[in-house]
Amino acid sequence: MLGKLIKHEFKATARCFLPAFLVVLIFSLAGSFGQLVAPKLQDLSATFYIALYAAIILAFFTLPTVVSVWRFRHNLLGDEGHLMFMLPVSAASLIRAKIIVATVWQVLSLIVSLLATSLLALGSGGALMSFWSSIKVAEPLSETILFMTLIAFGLFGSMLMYYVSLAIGQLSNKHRALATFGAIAVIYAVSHVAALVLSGLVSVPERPNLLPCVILMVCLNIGYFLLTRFLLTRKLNLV
Amino acid sequence: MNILETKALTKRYTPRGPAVLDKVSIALAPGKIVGLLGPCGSGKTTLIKIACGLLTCSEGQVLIDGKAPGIESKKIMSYLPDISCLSAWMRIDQVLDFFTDFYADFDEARALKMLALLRIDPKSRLKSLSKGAKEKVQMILVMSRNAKLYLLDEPICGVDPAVRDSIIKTIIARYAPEATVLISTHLIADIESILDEVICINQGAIMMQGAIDHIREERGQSLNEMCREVFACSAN
Repeated sequence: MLGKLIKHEFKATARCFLPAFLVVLIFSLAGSFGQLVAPKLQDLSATFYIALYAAIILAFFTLPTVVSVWRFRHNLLGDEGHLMFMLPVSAASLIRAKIIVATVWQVLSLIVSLLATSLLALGSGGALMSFWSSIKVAEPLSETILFMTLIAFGLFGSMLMYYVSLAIGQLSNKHRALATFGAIAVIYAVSHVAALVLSGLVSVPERPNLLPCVILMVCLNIGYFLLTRFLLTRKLNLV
Repeated sequence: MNILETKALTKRYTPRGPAVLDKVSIALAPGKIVGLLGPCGSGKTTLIKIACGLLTCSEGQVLIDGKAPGIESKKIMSYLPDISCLSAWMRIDQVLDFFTDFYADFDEARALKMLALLRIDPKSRLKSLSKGAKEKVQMILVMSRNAKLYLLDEPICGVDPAVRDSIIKTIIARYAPEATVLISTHLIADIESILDEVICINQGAIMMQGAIDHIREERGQSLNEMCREVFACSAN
């Protein structure tokens, strides 16, 4: 059943992401082409293009989170929830399908943005090479792996944090949005204070220790998931 | 065994608020069409949502075929909400695929036949349909399952009389003798002719429950007249 949920979630979300990918790639290609045919393109048009491109990229980076949160709220806690929660699947499967699809789109968005940057850099000749060579792997390798793990769990964690906040918000009959924002603020503050305290306790300024942060992130993610599952199983409130 | 049973079911939306459902106990046997009748705000939708597991009760118990609402109960119950719960961007044939994927008892051929009968193109997008057509599509999807229990929340509310007739015909056409259909409505006159039993609910409490023929005989009134009297009395 999880596979079927994922399939339908992909179908629903692809309508937002595929056009966005296309727009970003076309804009990057247009920018690259513009640099090749009119390298001296000056002032107003260039400034306008850079501003527009920056706005598109900014919107593009926020898109996976926005779509993920909107889908969770709309598809599970809105009117469509009356269909989704009547499917013979567990609440855990519904959450897993959402988080898996959201993560895949996050990764694809990252790949597309790298591709878009490369396309844009193509027009500036050697700039592409200097861009890629500027990316270095930190030493030692274990630190890089830990850092990447932290980012990966951070991605999961940010989405699960929104999911658990929405699940808390739905408990309120009248002020759902307010309750959701309140939950986000409290969870965000508590998790960050915990991360700061933990890293302060185990790290020294010369050599930050990422392992406790990774462990904390894993624990938080498990906690967010279990709480969301509990609320959607035992405290569902689709008024 | 009863297909749907509630025991002293109570629901409060706030801990100290009024009871929207107050110790409601009902039992539905298999093979009946039962009307859940009551004015707006009487607790009909709340009762159905609790039975579906979409709301949690404050006190009491719900049993579907002897089990608490969960994955197993959802396999045998088909629910029509009082709102449109389908994704507007989807085409009808995509929704049929969705139902085929998740419900083992969904009969796609029957759904297509009913769509053709009501002259609805399966390639249409839901957002392009009128409200009445959307309600017909939802009804077709729900009634195309070979479920043991159908819970229909206000299936004829908000549509014109012609659509009402086609929805009622769909219910009767799809009604399998061993299945139970619970229809919640405040438009009593329209569905009176198809009901076997009624449950009258008002202000969260059961006012009356029983076989429709018995009630008619006992009171010497049509169901519509009787409900007007019962609900008017309870309102005073």
